[in-house]
Amino acid sequence: AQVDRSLKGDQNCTVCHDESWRTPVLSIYQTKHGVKADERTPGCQSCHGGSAEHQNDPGNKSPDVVFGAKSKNLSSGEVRNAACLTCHESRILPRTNWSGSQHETRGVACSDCHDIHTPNPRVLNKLTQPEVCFACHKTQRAQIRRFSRHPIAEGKVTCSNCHNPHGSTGPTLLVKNSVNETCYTCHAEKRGPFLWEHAPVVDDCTNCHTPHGSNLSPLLKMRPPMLCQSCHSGDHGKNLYSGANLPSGNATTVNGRLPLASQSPPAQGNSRSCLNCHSLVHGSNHPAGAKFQR
Amino acid sequence: AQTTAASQTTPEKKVEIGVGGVSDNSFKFGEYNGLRNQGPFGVGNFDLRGGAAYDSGSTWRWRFTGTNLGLETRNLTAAFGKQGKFRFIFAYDELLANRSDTYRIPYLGAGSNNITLPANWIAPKVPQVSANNVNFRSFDPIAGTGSVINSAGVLTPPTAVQLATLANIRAADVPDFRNVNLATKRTRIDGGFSYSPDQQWDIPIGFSHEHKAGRKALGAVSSQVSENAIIMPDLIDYDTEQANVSFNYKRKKLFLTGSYYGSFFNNNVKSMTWQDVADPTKSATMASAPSNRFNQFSLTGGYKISSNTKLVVTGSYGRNTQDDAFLGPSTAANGQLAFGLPAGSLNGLVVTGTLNAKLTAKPTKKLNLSAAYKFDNRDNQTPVNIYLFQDANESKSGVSPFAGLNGLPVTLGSNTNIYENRAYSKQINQLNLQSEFAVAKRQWLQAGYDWQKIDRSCSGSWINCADAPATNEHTLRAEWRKSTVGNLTARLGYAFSWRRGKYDENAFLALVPMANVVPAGGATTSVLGYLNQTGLTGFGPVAGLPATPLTGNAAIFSPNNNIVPQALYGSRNNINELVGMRRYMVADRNRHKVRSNLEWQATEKFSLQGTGEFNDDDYLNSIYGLKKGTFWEASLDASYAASANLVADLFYTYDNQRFLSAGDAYGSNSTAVFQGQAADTIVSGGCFATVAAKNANAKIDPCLNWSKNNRDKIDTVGFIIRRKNLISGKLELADEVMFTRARTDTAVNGGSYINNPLALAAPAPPLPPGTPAVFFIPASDYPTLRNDEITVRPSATYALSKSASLRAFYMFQRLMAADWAYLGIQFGTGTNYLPTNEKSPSYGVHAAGFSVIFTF
Repeated sequence: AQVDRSLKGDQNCTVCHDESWRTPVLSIYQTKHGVKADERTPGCQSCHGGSAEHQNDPGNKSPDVVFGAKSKNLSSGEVRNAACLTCHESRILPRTNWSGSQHETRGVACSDCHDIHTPNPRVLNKLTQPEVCFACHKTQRAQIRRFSRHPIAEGKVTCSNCHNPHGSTGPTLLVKNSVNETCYTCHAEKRGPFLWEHAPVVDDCTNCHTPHGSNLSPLLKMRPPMLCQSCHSGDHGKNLYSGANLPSGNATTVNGRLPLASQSPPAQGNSRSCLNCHSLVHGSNHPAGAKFQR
Repeated sequence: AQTTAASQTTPEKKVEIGVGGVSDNSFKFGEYNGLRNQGPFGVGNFDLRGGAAYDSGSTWRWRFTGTNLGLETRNLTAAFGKQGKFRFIFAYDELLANRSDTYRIPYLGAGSNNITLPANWIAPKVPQVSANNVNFRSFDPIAGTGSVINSAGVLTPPTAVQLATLANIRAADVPDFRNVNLATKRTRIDGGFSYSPDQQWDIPIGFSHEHKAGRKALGAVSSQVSENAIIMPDLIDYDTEQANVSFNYKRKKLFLTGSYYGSFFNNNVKSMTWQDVADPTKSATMASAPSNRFNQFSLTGGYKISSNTKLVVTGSYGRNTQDDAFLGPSTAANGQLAFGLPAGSLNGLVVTGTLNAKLTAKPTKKLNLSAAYKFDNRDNQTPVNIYLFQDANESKSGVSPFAGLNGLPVTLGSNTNIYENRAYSKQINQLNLQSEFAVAKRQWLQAGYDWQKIDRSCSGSWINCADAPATNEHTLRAEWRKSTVGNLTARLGYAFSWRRGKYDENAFLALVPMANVVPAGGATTSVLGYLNQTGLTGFGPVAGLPATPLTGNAAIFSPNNNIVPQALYGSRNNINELVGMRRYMVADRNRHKVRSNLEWQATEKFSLQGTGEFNDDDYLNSIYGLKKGTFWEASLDASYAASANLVADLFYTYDNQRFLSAGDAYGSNSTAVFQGQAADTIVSGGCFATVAAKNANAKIDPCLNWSKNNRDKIDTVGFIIRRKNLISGKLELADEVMFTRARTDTAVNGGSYINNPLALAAPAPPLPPGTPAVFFIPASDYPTLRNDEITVRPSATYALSKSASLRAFYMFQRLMAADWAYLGIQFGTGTNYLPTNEKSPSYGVHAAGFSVIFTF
């Protein structure tokens, strides 16, 4: 049935759920969902249902749709989502890709992340949004604290810069069609196309990088030379580099500094390792840059 | 506290002004937060919002915000409009990324794209080692003056003249090293407008401009032959524009959108030039990232076929172009491009196309079904050409076996690279099927199957360029999920994937088109022809060693069946790989994934949550390269909410990541039977007792097999507490404590042969009988790479009045870092790359301040 979305209709609820209620229910009128002059704006019963039983017996019967996460009468995710999708599936800020998305199929409900009544929802603030996502994504919560990281804890980059939690055409809910397209929104200099392309780079940035944080800068899965030697076994890529080749290692003499014979080639095993020379690993546009040195 | 209806329904405006201070300079502490410098800083934040009252007849809304106004991380936004009709939004944002404040170089001109050595620079050499080769041990009085064994086998201390030369080098060069801060800053402006002429149409438009400027460290090799390199301050000066516009059409069951996205990257730096530290008469030039453009059009349609069935189809078409002028022979120093260029620019074009279709249905109340298909194509249509070049700062030498063939110059050197660019294309076809069944109330069982086929190729390539031209991956997955209203949620999921593809160990030939041409010198077939005839790869036979050099077509390999030599490719690098090397991004793989989650609301106030994650990647057919990758994580959260006024959270997360890889430091087989003198034949350690046996089997010596086991072990602990409404509701306290203990260990198995420094040719004396001429030195593990960080961040807010409050904040952060990468960049430690003397960025910094917050 058509609900009365006017303030008069809301009074069915606000007569009890007024300014003295334990949570500031009325603050929804500060939000977009409270602008009554917008003819699309819902009323209380648009989302919570007509809730006739609750009105008749508020002490024992709950509203038709209950969003409170800790409520014993919490409605199912499907029911809660249906309340939002009434408007947001196709008509207003459509969440076209929600249906069948990773979050939808794992039972996540809109209200698990969105706090509709507050004028300062955490999920819409770059600084506080990660707190919402980390309620489930514990691994990423730890990763953003690592030595090498995106400025997520500082609120300069936030989860939704890369991910669309409402569903997307990309992998892992990325905002673009692919990992690389997503990364290029901030790192366009890596896009090329370059004269000399590096196959794993154009394939997928996450072949080498782990975007949420790493102990190895810059956001690397492994430190060179180990990372490079995962794929390169020719020429000096074949060589064994180990702690023996570092200053004071077994392959050095004279205060641990003088390389012993040719077994301590520091350029490949020390400092930036392979990247001391092959620094343009994302691609080179120099006609002599096929080895990513120019 | 807001207790009236008016206060709850009236937008609150907030202005915060204050001052703070930082105890110490630290780039790492201030990496992203703007607090890199010791001293005071301003605190400035505001959030002003308003518009028509909710119960008025108007939909005007506006909001202005500003954060971190006193820091180089400031952000300003302005948004206003009539809700449901139109909206403007503007934003300004700064983001500082500090990289190093301990980096030192002797070069002048940091901050430009041409860095030069000071006039007093003396090429650093250790004269008693070599009069010609650069050697940065000369910067250190201890390492630089190490005694050496001369050709007569005598330990010889440096002469007074040599010592004086070293002293002169140090006196001239070491003071030239000066600090250059490495940091970049992004400054971004965003503008947006959305317009809804009616309820069926939305037209959002967005535009952004970002300028990124500063300096980053970048490795730069001066000479390929001697491998002299520096870490230079690469000049960053980028401008990137992004634009998007969409036309959204909406009906109750239908949603259609057509959109455009454009991204235009412009690099204001075309190249970096630097002088060679070994020979300042030479300079080298490196190309900077080229400017590029990306235009993409997308169409999306969503239709609700029935109340329980929905179809969404999305397609996109994009063009990524790049046509920056190549650096020509005149700017590519020292004859690297002596034979000219096939084109003045790349004329690069990558066409991307995607199609996604997803059908979701709920045929019964208990059953959800979904099917999705994805097509994603990266079609690189960049022209393919042959490029002739010498390696870094190298001049032509020798005569190429392809000189004068196939239109190549007759003067081609044997060290000239004859390379063809590879324009990588990739096409993905993917299918995802999933069903979910409610096995009981609030209990679901999910099962799914995914198939992904990836085809990789290079348009215009003379031969297949992809290590695995096609890979197929299948995934079977299942998940169980249960929730009990109000107190228990559990989830357990498992997925198994298997990826297979046919690996082509000769795909590297795509880079070297002359592999399809019969070289001069007596062969009757090309490299490719011979490999096809014999079934070998460029690595050659793994075993089976003729005593004499190969002849005829077999001579495409180096003597004794060693790898195809550089003369045939004009390549100083041997670009073929070990037989059995599989690049992990396409290698056959079995993957197991487990995910679990358990949430328990023990009481109304106390809850526990545990999560676990396990990934295991087994590259089952990879003999060399990455063989295994394992990751597992466990988290435990405890949350206590005594009331709305007191909330405390404690969590612990443990991550363990492991990569196992293998390689082989094979050598060139040789018939040499001694080292130095005929009597010097003993090998100590390793797999062979004599030099003769070791040399004959250098290509298959099992002791040259190595493996590495990289392991990250990271503990993260966090504690957050918030206490409100103290002192009659006037005081609010909060504290956050975070601790991360991160360790990266790399265990290495294997070893290397090292000649006895005294095993020298005559006139040096032979070694005493029984003395090893060659030693096998076992590998040792890398030192632990450690980053331990603790952060303590308490704050207090005290209400001075209804509209003003005082906020005091404090932050202490300590980083204890140890990284072996810094060991080799100190004076006296490296031999052929310029030390930067950078230090591990450990720090302990306090930041504190107070502010007044006005609300109205």
